[in-house]
Amino acid sequence: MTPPDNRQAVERLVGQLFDGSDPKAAAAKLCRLLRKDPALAERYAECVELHALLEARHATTLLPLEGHAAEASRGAEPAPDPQRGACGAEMAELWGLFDEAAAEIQRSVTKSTLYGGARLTRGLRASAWLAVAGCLLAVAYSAALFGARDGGVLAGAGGGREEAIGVLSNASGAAWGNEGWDASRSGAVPRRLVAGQELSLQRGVAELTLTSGVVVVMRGPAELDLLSPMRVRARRGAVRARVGESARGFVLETPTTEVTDLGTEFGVDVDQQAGTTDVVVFEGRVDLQYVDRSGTAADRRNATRRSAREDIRLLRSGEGLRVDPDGATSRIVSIHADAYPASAGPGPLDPRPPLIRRVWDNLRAPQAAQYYQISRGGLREEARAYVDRFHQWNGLKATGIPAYLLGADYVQTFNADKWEADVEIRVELAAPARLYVMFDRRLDPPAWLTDNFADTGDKIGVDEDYRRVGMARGGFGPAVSIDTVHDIWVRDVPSPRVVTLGALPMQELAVSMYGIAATPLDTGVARGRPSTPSAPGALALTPKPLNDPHPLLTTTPGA
Amino acid sequence: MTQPRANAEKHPPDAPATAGVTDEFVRRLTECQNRLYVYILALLPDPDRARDVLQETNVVLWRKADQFEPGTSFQAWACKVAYYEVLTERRRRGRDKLLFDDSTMELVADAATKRLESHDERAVALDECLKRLDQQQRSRLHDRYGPGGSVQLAAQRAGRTPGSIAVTLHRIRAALLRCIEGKLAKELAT
Repeated sequence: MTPPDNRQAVERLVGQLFDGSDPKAAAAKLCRLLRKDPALAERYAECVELHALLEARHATTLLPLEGHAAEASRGAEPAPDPQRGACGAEMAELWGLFDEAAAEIQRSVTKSTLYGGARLTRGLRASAWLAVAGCLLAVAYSAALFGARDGGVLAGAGGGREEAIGVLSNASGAAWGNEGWDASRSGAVPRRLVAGQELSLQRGVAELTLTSGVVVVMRGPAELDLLSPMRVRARRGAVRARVGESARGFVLETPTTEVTDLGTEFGVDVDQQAGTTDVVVFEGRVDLQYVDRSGTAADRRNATRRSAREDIRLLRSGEGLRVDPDGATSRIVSIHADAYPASAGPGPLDPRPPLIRRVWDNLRAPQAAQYYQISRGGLREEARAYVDRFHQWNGLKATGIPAYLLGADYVQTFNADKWEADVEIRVELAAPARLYVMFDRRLDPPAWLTDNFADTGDKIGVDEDYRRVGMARGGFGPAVSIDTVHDIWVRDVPSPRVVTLGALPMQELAVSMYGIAATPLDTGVARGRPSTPSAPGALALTPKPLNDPHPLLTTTPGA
Repeated sequence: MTQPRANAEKHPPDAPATAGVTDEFVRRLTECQNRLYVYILALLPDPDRARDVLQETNVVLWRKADQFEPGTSFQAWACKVAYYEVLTERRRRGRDKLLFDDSTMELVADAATKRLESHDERAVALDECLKRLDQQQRSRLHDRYGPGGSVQLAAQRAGRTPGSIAVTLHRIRAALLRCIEGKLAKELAT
């Protein structure tokens, strides 16, 4: 009989193995213990299993959002800026480049439905794993499991089976309105899906892989009709679709729109009550078309034709629009990254509400469609820095991004805004926060920064060379191929409010737009405080009162 | 979010699908990923390396799909392949990186295989047990295991030292283990 002391010793050593500074020593001790008492091996296996399960349970987090995933801009936006189009040519050229890069990345990285697939924090290794797992799945699902692209009969299946158009490849915390769909078990839940099937997900996240290779992730409450491998109807809720080259032309329809994919990753969020559809593009491009589904079938056909002629709108990576029941569109100013889960990871365990509630600016005209992306807890190595570029935040030294910024909420801004002399970005904080601005150090810091923020003395890098990204492992992680260096500025915002940030000083240099991040500010002990010796300024930081030049635009906390 | 191209090209999407890759095979392969990862992690307690080995194992299983005999245990077959992949990884990385010696590996492999039989039940029990944690304990776990998480981050967020957070995490995990055991025992009894 194994003494309880030894079982506890195994628990402790496994903890040291995964959490300690010297895993080798812990392993050596474990070896000795297991040799002495082989019965302890099972306890060891249990402890490892728990660690793996906890990893999986926390691999993705969901935002406890109510209703719509995004804030639409209608009525909240200032007048259009006639100067906005000045960078059109530059943007068009860059977009071409980005699309190419996006397609490349899309080809090589297909996010996995498998264990730990959503955990990208390990950067390189996780990515490598994802690629192979993704390839496996792509091959598995498209080639072997289903046969032809347009929904061949399942290979290896006997005659008389209903034609499958996909599988329910993963689910997490899922409660189904569909009878007999029990998804309480963890992990992958392969389940055959056929054309005409109506899915009703009451809560949780579910991932469908269609025979066309399209991966659809739905976040409950959501209702989805499977029409064919190339056409899905979302009646309610947030749905994200990842569409490879082979499935270009895939259509996601909603009560008021048809979104036709042009090789991309995009999301829709249908608010059944309001009758609105939000469409946001994460990578690539889609055609967005308003469809009036009221009236007779003939009316609808005519309306569709008319709409096809007049109202097709091309949306690109970083753009999003809200479509009203009458077809009117408004810009989606900011979205929360985890409102559209990229995979059916485990359920929501992060108890923290988002710190950054909303971000908007004074520039974008109503006909513009670009959104700021807010990632809760998303700042880490390789985190995408800008909505309109593939650049990434990375630590300058091998030690990585300063610890106090790891896991911070952050905003993907528009790098193209570096040219905008009058840009003002407003950040609405939902709770007391320590607000960080990562500012290109080649520039003289402007007054709005120096007056309200303190320089921590710490730095963070931007890896700009996305074209080199696919080349070698060595191109990843901190201190590798850093192109620009940003100083980290900080200020404490003790109560929820809107903070306005300004423009970059005008210059001839090619520079980078600043980044924005926030960590919780504990009114007692200052959490997330920069504590490295190189951050003397932050320790004694007494932020000056913010002189908000636009007090009228400041929204009421909690509104 | 990016990916070394060399790796992607190693297993291109148009790689020949072997004869044994059937509907059933894919379902089983997908189903056993979680358990396979736990098995590999037990043999190679380094999450990054364990994921690498899992991916290699998947590729081998894929290529050897026709060698799987329907009606036999897929998991046992997959674990056997995974075991050899761990050995290959050990050879590749050199003995200096070894955590376990041969005899311990065998011992752990046997124990892990046995434990995997109740993996799904334990996973469900864990979900229940996680609900019993208080807000602060959940925060600690999230800071440790969530995106970008680490002991260092959890310590930073809590305003404590990594050592003391490691102790807290150990206590939370110990409580979860007891809770899972209690739930399984209760299920057995009813």
